[in-house]
Amino acid sequence: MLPGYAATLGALGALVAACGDPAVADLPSAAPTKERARVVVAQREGKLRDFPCSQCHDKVVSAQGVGRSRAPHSDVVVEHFDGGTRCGLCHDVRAMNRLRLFSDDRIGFDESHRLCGQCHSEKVKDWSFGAHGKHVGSWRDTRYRLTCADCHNPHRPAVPQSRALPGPTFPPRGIPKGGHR
Amino acid sequence: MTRRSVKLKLPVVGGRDRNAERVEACTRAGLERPMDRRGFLSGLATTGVAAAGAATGCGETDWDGFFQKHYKEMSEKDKHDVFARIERRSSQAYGREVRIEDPPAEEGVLFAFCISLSVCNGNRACVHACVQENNQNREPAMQYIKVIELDRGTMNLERGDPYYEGEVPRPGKVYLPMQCNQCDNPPCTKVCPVEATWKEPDGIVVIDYDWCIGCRYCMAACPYEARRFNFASPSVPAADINPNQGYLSNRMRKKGVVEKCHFCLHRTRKGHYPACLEACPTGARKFGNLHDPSSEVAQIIKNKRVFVLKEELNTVPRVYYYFD
Repeated sequence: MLPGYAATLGALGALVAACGDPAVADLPSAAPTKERARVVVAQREGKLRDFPCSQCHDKVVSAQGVGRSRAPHSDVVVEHFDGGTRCGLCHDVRAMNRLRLFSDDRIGFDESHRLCGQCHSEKVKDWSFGAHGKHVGSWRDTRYRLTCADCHNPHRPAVPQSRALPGPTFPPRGIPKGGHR
Repeated sequence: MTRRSVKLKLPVVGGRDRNAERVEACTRAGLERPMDRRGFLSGLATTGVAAAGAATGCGETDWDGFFQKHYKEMSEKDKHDVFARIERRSSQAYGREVRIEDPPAEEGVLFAFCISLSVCNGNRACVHACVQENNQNREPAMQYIKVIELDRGTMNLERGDPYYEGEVPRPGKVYLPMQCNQCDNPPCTKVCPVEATWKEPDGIVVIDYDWCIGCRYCMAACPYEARRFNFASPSVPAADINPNQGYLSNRMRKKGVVEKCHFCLHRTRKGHYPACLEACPTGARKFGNLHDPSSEVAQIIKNKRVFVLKEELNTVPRVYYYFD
């Protein structure tokens, strides 16, 4: 965990409680690490399979001039943003290691929640104080708050159905649902 | 239908009093089989053989276990001996080395759960993580957590279905996981005739499985159906036994005792998250210390509209539900 990238949200909780309107509290994603790191936003860049995107994109750009070929990313299905499929909506097409906000700010993948929060502000507000999203680590010491893309595929964010594991045994003499008349 | 006549046995005034012989026979029969507290109480106490301990020559009987003190009255040395004995006996019985410990409740900690019903997709990963963590009986299956499928927009638990199966989440349904609410005003501990269950300072309602007599009053008293009874000795394959066990939490139970969710106290008192939370693929479960204002649970209760189950019963549950 690089201390420069570790964004604490412990102070945010106090801020939210103090001002009473969490929406106005901007996410201190780039804030310096506080002395007692209680909640740490989990990092994304280390988890990405091919992360420094520049390993290919520099070469592709130089070889093909524009680098618009989708072939290496043929597994990416975009079902998000009402059918929008332009990579440049979220990715910075000039420097692929970065993401691009609507405000034309460039951010790293570790701050991707800011990108999601441009549309899903309610969800990011819930996430910012812990009501949405998963935490791992220790409830007492440092806990890591997983970001949006840890659970949702950003290109296809709807979580698919899964098969339920076996439930309790139905009582041998039980009456099934709807059996009462 | 014939009515059974009941003859009361009156004390013998004249003639030969056979009570002494009966007492001796019962004592002998009792000493010839391994005995535990519950067996003693159900089999012998009625005949008034309190002096069974005076008899000798009982190789099988676990006298240390029989005369074990109530957990709250044990000294540190007692605990050490008891833990060592339980470790020995459960590795004999299940063929797996286990380690028993009991981390004490921490000062200034009050555990609580918050569960997001918008996010829970009902796939029961929590249920099975709990079964594995807590060495619950596999056959017949015992599960502390019960996930109830409700129609979206309703909150009538009577119309809920805990037996759903197949692909989840189904459209138009919402899933509500229920487990022990660790009430602040628990009805179950008040009805226990032997004080085998009580509330710890960090808010967890625990059971001393060696002190429980299996009367199941607590199961009747619990409004959340959170308690489970061991109708048979738990059968857990040796490979599946979790060897990190707590005296008051997930050590091997026996036939005829009550058990329930304990917020994984052998984990949470050491700072870890409960097993169900770690297994949840959706992040619907939040766990933390209510006394810490920066914890997720405190923040959720402050900022979200939370509710508890059966609030009108004044049990003050510690599992809060919310939609986000």
